[in-house]
Amino acid sequence: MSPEEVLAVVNAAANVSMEAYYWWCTAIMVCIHAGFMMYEMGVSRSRNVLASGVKNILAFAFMIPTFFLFGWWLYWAYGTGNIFLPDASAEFAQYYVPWSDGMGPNLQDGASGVFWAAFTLFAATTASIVSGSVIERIRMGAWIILAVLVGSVVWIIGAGWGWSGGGWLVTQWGYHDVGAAGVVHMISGFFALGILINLGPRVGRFNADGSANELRGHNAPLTIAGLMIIIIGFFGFLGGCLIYPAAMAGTAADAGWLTIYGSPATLSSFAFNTLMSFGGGIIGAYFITKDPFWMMSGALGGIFCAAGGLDLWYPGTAFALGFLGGVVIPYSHKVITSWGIDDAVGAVSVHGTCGIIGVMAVGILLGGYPAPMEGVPPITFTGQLVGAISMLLLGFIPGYVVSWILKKCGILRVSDALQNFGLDEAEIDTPSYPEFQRSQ
Amino acid sequence: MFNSSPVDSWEGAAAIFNSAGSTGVTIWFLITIALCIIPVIAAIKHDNKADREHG
Repeated sequence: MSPEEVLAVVNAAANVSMEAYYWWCTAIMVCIHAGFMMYEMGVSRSRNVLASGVKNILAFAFMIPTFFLFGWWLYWAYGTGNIFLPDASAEFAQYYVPWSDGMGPNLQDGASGVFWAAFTLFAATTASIVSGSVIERIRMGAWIILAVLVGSVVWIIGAGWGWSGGGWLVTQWGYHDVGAAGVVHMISGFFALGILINLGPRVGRFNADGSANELRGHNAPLTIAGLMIIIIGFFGFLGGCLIYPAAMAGTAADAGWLTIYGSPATLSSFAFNTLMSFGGGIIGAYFITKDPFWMMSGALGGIFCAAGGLDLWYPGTAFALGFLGGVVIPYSHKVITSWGIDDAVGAVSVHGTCGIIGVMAVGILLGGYPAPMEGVPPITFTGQLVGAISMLLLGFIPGYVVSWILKKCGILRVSDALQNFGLDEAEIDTPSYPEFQRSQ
Repeated sequence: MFNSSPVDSWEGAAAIFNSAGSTGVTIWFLITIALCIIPVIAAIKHDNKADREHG
């Protein structure tokens, strides 16, 4: 065989293995949604279990066509440096309009479909993060609108800004967030906070004097198992955050894995630091609470605290950051509850607070790492601070404004009477446990 | 804030984690050990308390 023929065979094999890699990352990411569904159903009281499940399933389902129709296009249209308006003239934005040759079976393009699929699952993850906060009192129609907004519009604009080699946060500020602590978790956490302010608490959550009542879910084991399933899913998510070497086989950049920014990385660094922060989060939350709900939430929070620098942490640092996340989330949740906000699963704390830690830890501890491209600043504290503020505002403002509009239209919140009656029988027409007496 | 990068360029880089090759790693190593030991002590105390109160 000639050298050219050998290269062609190598490229073909590499591209097929790349497709397979993202295919399986996507499949594993479905576990995030299975886990969130179990988690939310467990946290719900027995009269609302199926309604919480349906809400979660619908968010996932609506994300798929909407991310096909405009979400994927938005990523590329914001990935060339624009802040406010999308750049429709960008090369890949033109290539990824939903009627183009790249957005369907194409024998010359094996990459687009699997990349789109992985990003669609990232998008669905943002909606699932918000989903748990609002259970037991949000109306289904409003929820679908808000889920599509966060998953197929808001977070993907953030990804264009700070999770692509050409985004303005990256090229102007050296923003570094490989595991999406800000892009996914901060945006989703603060989007949820914006909604919760308008949505109000579940009936019975707060007393007239402002003190809070604990509305215990009907199935703690389901909740805890669901959290563990989410963590399995995050291995697919974080694996999907890396660029497979074969995507550029035959070019100068084909030596190994790359981060989303194009800097060199290894899957091993993600393995070290994901597991260490996972362990740290559980141990930190155990140290503070002894409560398995917070321990498993701590595992998630721990990973998010290390997510921004998964490619660069010394594993001991990732462990300490995870520990910090596990310690912080119960307190952060207490503070948010003291404001009269009913976050049913602590998502604002686990994703929002830990997302801030994840972004700012990179600025505080990883200063000076060079950017992969000429003319782009290295990692700095200021760059990460600008990124954190941008992600916070990008998440909070649309969540608040659109839920306020839905509230004014009278389609945001389930009536108090219906909340007391139970959403399963009212909306689904099926009790979740027909052979057992339901809790009140 | 803390410049912990062991590399100035990606060309030929090997160990790229924060503080690689410096005393910073020793500090993080000791912190990791401490964060493992302290919760074990807390767990023992918690067990003893539960035993006293309910045993």
